[in-house]
Amino acid sequence: MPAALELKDVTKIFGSVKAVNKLNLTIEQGECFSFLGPSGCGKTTTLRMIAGFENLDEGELYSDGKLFSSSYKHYYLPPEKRDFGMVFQAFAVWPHMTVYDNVAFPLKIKKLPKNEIAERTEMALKATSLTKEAEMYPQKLSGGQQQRIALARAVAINPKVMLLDEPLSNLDPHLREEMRFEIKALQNKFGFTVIYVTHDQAEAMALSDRMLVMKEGVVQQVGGPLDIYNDPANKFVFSFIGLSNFIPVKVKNGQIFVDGAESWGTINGEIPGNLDPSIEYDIACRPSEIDFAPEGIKAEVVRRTYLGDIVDYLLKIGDTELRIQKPRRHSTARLGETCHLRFNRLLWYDRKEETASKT
Amino acid sequence: MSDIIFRNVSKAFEGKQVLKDLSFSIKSGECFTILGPSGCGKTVILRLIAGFEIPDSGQIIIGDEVVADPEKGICKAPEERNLGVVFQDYAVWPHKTVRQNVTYPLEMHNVPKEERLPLSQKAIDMVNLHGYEDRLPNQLSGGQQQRVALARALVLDSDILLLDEPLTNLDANLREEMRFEIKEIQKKTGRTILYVTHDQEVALAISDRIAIMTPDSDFCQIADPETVYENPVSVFSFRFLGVADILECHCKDGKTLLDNNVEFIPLPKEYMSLASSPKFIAGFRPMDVEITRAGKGIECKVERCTLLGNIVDYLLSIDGITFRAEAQTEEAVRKDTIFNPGDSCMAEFVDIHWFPDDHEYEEVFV
Amino acid sequence: MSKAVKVQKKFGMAEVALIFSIAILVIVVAVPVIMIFLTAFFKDGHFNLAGVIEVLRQKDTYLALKNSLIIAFGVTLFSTIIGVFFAWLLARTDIPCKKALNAMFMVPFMLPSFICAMAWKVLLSPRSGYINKMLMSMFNLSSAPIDIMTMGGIIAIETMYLFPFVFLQVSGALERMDPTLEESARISGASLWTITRKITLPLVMPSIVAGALLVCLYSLAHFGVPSILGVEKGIYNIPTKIYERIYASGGSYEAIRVGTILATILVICATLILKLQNVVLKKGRFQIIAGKSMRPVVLKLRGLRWPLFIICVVYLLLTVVLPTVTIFLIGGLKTYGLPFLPKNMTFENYAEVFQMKMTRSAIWNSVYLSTLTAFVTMLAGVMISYVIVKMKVKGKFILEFLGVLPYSLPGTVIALGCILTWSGKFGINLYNTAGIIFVAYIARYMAFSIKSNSAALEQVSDSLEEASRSCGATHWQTLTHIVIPLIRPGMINAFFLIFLPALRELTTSVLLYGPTTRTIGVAIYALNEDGETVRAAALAGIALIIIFIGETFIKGLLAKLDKTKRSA
Repeated sequence: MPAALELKDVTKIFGSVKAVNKLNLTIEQGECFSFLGPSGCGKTTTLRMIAGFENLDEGELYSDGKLFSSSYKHYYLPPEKRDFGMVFQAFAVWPHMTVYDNVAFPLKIKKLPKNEIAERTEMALKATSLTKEAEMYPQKLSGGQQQRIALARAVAINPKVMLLDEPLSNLDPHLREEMRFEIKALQNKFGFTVIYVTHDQAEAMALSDRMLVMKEGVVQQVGGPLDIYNDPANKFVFSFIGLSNFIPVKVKNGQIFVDGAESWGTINGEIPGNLDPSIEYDIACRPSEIDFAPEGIKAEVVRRTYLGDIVDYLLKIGDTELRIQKPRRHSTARLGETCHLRFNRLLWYDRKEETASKT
Repeated sequence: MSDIIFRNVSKAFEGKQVLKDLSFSIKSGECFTILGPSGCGKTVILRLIAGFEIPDSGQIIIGDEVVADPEKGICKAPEERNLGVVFQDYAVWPHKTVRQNVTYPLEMHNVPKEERLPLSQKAIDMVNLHGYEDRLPNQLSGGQQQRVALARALVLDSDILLLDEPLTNLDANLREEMRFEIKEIQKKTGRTILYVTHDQEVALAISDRIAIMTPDSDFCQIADPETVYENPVSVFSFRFLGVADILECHCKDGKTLLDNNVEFIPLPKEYMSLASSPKFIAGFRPMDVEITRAGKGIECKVERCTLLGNIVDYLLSIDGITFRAEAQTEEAVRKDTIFNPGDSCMAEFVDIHWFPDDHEYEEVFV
Repeated sequence: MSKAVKVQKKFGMAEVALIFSIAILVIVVAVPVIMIFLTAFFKDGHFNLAGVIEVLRQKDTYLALKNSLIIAFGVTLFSTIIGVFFAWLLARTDIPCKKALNAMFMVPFMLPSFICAMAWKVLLSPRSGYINKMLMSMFNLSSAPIDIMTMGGIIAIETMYLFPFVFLQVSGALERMDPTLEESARISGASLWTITRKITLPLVMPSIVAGALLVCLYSLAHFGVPSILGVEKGIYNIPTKIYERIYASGGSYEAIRVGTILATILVICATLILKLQNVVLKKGRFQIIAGKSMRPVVLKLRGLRWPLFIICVVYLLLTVVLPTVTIFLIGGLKTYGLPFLPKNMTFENYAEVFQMKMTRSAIWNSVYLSTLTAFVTMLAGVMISYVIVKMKVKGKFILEFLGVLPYSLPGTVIALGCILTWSGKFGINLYNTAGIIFVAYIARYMAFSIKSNSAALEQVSDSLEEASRSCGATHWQTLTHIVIPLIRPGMINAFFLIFLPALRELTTSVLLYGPTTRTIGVAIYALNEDGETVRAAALAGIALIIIFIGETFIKGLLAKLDKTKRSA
């Protein structure tokens, strides 16, 4: 079976900036694939090139074995001929049409027979539980319902590929979760391929079979959510995927010390055999990957924040701060105390590598 | 001293009674949070203290002074109450620079000119805006604008700071950062803080005491965060403080049974009084379910297992009755409990709250 | 412990401001309107419908009404077509030089339509029009091929200068529209043509209707163009009929009474139009504003790109450049009727404008009256809108009603109302003084001021004021330190919204002027009527220069304000 989408050396240049730089990617039929990255990383531009709203400055784009765009052959298929479904962040439902007419619009454009239009519209409305609202105008409906209209409209034409551009960013947090399940359920029902653009790592992980992390137009890593969580390709991916601690370390006599705080003890854990002695290293770990233990490196509790399920700690080893988050049942340390830590997993990165900025 | 005391305060808007005979007090120097769903009247309390609204009856006392008492015809204007207020929409004046915004309260209180600069600088430094003094608000991010508002509220030596959902318009990262900063400022300056919010996470993180307000504008529980979270007095306060699993149970032959008659955890002795009622509720947090491949507890079927970054979210079922569970990803990886739908697992319920069957305020959670 | 302050239950600042605001609107707006209705429907203290019917049955008044409606309908129709077409062309196609074209399409807005009507009369009048004469000699015609002094001519000229109302509304809506609304139609498989018909046009329909109704309202009560192109040929609309009756009878009470009856019809028509507008806007007020800003899909015109561009340029040349140049050339002729040759040209007419007492005082009158009106109306507007938008007081609805009332009052009606109110009936006689023009201008432009200031005030959220109060500022300090600086752009906008139209006002002033209180508009009109075409054109040319300076000044000033706000 040919790939749902194939991108070859896809490049887009805005002015002097390479918004997308030589992107190569194959997305299989029926996959749910996410583009994840901070704003301005080129993920939306890539999606718009796939949709056909932007032409490629270089490269080729195939869908289902068919050429859609090629800078070499000067070929470009306009968006209306690509037969994709697409859902936008700002819903983009037409306020002058009823819910029913919104959903039926693409079918009418295709000049399908009347009974088929009715059938498929009703099916799409049913799948998004909008049957009751069919005769209403979108503005009378909530944000979640409006986004469901957009989904129904995209589903109605039975597309092979569904493009979703931050579809949940304009919704309340609790609605976001609900809609996420709904998108997944629609995919299971209709079997289309999903391309999902987001800056929210939890959303991307929850939805995707595979995902791609992007920075400044360049792909950083492609893989399954758990792979990316467990084995981030670099410091940027590590920091983008969740709350992170980076601790500057020094290795001496086969022991790991916190740089500048040798007297506080050693960090438990293995030292990789392939460390380059000329490079300064940071070790990276998640706040949940550190335990309070009877022994281990010392740390001082400078802030303890009770968050219900989880207690969030700010600790100091010398001048180095680190965050720990533990379920309240395992949160023994009190404010001002000195405690001991055990590290469950360490990743080693060159200290000079960039992290994702926190804003 | 800057205690805030409400005595039998009532307030109605266009015939709709919002507050009725409300009495409570905020102690000097504490961070007191009013946590409630939208429309419950929590903002009205803040506006009454600030003086933007006048109570219909009752007394409001700040420190040792009655600031509002309609029966005696007393109502101090907002500008005479000497409070700092921070609003949800920042309310930073767009035509004034950061410095001018922060200096304004000093001008209004006729602080001598030569003291204004050092005082405003101190406030600006306190909210980490050093270097931004001459910018206009539209050159700042949302988080920075909210810091300006905070600095402006702090610059006067007032004892009380009123915060009306100040973090709602910020994104998650900034919200967390600002939360810590507000707490830090409270520690440094010892001010009394009234914080109004509907976000339980901020409330838990920041407060010395939390007052949970029901949609009927009544406080159902006032206590410190750990007490409120771990010993909720009602189903409402339990559900309002975070994601909650609610299972309906009944007792038969001394056993606790779920609706499908599967045996559940036995009722502890101190809750035996519930056993006689036809129905009662077991409530627990998803995080308080310990999941193992094969261990103690009740056998469950995995309906769904979703990786959400640092947390794994489960939907489990006991013979058709579903509930949510959560685990930290790191722990789930270690215990090999990232399942596929259809797998079976064991669930141990660590901390269950038992409540009488009570579905008050259901609409808040829909 | 500081003193406790008693609650002031009696008279707060809010109540004082409310009463003061209502008083202004009642005196300036409500009383004149009531006077018109009283005069129209009551005779000797009795309700008198027979008199009304009698007036309506007279052939000339009936015809005037009919003409008014036909002109308004025609102008609205053509303005809408032209306005929508050009707005779409500039916002949704790849036509070249968009920025320049956009700016140029706003110019007809600045040009006083009666001055342009004069120019067109010079060019296309059947007997002596320059173009007609040229065409006749070129093609050996025995009669003029184009006659501008017809209903068709009036409709054409009004359309040329009123279509920007539609253009402005529609291009604004197209610019603000969320591009994903169109993109989602595209991904659904719709072609650009289908999208334009099925998505874009329906979504901007409310703006189209709003613009069209503004045109209709304006045209219905328009005096200038019909008076210059129609009256000579016996074509009257309601405003010109009212003027003719009053002028012919030397301002007799009976003529004024007929005027009030006709005015009542205008008010009814205008009210119906505004009602219709509210209905349409309420039904179709779509939220189409974008969150992310992205470029909209643009139709590639390909081969049509340059031909359409040329059409735009020719249209602008015809409607803007040709009449303007004509006015300046005529103003420079030694005697009207001579061909435009260097030997026939002189600067003397322009110099004379500043020497002749009548024209000199007209310029002075217009400048000081419009400045004063703009200033006073702007300040009153700030106070009234503050009460409407910000204050919680009972009785505010009276203000809201009176505030929008002037919208439905055509200039002719306001003039009549002022004559009835300020001619000594209430102990104040302003007739034949500048004072009556001043109060009439205030009534006419108050709605502009309230609208502009209200819009600015609505942007100032309550918490900005509350923040100031909690910082220790009193109500008054909050107003001067926070509110006024924040709405200053709105106030300046209001000032110019009043100042510029008042500078060239004709419809109202023509009924109110006295021997020493001619305004620029009246002076041009009078000179033209007296056959002093050359002098009228010279004064018109100078008026155009003043207006042009005013327009560029406003743009420059507002742009500068905006810039300092952003970059400081």
